[in-house]
Amino acid sequence: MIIEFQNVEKTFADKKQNVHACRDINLTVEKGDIYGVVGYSGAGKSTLIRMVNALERPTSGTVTVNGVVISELQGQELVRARKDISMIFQQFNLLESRTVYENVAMPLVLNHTPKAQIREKVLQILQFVELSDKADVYPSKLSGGQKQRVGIARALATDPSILLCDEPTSALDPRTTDSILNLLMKVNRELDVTILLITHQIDIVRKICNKVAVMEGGYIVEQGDVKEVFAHPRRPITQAFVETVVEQTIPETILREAAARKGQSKAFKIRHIGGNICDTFLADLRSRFSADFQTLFISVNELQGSILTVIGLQVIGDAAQIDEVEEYLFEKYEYEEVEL
Amino acid sequence: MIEEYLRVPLSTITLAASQTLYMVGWSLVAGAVLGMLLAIVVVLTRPGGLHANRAVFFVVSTVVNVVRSVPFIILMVTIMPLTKIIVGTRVGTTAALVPLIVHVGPYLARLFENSMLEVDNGIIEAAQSMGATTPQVIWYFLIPEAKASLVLALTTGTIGLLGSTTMAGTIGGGGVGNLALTYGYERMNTPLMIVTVILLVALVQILQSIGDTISRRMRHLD
Ligand SMILES: Nc1ncnc2c1ncn2[C@@H]1O[C@H](COP(=O)(O)OP(=O)(O)OP(=O)(O)O)[C@@H](O)[C@H]1O
Ligand SMILES: [Mg+2]
Repeated sequence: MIIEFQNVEKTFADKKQNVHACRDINLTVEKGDIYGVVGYSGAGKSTLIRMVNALERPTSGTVTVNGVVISELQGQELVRARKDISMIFQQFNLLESRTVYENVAMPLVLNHTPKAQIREKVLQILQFVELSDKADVYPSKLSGGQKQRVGIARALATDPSILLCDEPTSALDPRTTDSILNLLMKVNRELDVTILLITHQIDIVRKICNKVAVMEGGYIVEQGDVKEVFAHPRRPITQAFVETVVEQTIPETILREAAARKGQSKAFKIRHIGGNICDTFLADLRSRFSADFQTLFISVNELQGSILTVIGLQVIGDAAQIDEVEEYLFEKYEYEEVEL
Repeated sequence: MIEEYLRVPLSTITLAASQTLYMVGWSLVAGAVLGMLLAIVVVLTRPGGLHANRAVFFVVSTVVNVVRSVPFIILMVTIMPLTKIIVGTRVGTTAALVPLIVHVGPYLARLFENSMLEVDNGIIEAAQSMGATTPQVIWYFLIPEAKASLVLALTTGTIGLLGSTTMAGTIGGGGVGNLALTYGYERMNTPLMIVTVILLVALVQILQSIGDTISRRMRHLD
């Protein structure tokens, strides 16, 4: 593992009351992960990520990075450890008084790297983030997406093993967001950088993360593989998050029509992760069973190279016919009954 | 021609001008250094700062406030013994430097402090996350990012200093202000008065527009 939180608590002592920003945090990020932490405003996400590079210190518990307890480092040791942990920000935090080139060069200047070497490195990174033509431009002339690219370039200058992202796309429009996400994936794959990312946009997690933790009131209430969590969100907050990107509500009109249908029937919501079952799903049921089927709803979603399909299905027939189908669904899919 | 109109020898005028330049120049340089040091200490030690330290912050901040609240002419008289220790005499242009520096240092410190506080906290965090040491944070992040605003502060300080030097005449500092007072006011030389005032106003205008221009250039907005 590359980042590990063990029983971490963080309390801010305010004048009026103590704010428990992070409580009982246990979290492990493995090498190569793109780990997403999602939660609403005030959940404690920023506090959590800022403990990884010791911008905040835990009140109790330990944060270990690359085998070193970063939460206990001081002075020069901390300075050195931070060179391996880069960070990008929602507001980019670029130096307005310096050009793109100088911004990207800054971490190397701080390391007293020779000029020629800085030049080589900076030009190479600018090419990587596709900003070679903007080297001599000041940040005030860049778009938000370009600024974040500079932020990423600057973060990569010291060849870090970890990249921390605090709401990296929250200030960007959807299209720019996608291009930044693609860049982060490229950073993860081609440069072998482990990414810890916090966001309130669950869609970002769906698009690029392999692991996710959901935070609420300072606690991590759910964590695991993105596929697993998206397919089986347990907590209401997780369900609410997942619902915003994976449509799973059967339209009311369709439900009404279904309820009005003659004869005995039951409706189900079925979830499946894997290949494309759009065509085969119903054909399979029809070939096996004599009941009548009505598709109420289909939602098909990309999820880490798999497909998450949610299907609303009404089964019409006598009790025995319906039971038969339900038994089959039970064995083969994850499903729940829907009230009609 | 000019001498006849102003009823003062030209050498007196150039001497006064050079005395003013001397006083403003040196006290500006020394005051800016002093002010910058004080400002850095205050910015670093303030609550939430990089090296938050209530005691240091309180002491420095209070000293700055106290000195700033003393009118220059009173400050000048009050610290005369100190002046004597440092330059060996209480009067003269060089002696005037001591109170000028003591006066303008804290004044600039406050202005510089405000300039540096304008720097977004995110910049400091970015610096820290890069593993910048405190001197590096100051040198590579805080000062450069505050640069444009620091220039304006320095401009304000210079103009204030110009005003203070006029009072230095009372301890034999000489200068343009003294010229206007002794020759112009006391000897009722109105043309000299008017010309001095016009020159001072022009000088302030020029200083301000130079400061504005440099500051604007530094913002890299256009
Ligand atoms: N330095 C601080 N002093 C006091 N309270 C703080 C401090 N930093 C954060 N908090 C409090 O801790 C809680 C968690 O804050 P945090 O910034 O970690 O939330 P977040 O999940 O990042 O929210 P957002 O999405 O708004 O950025 C909040 O209640 C916040 O007010
Ligand atoms: Mg936050």
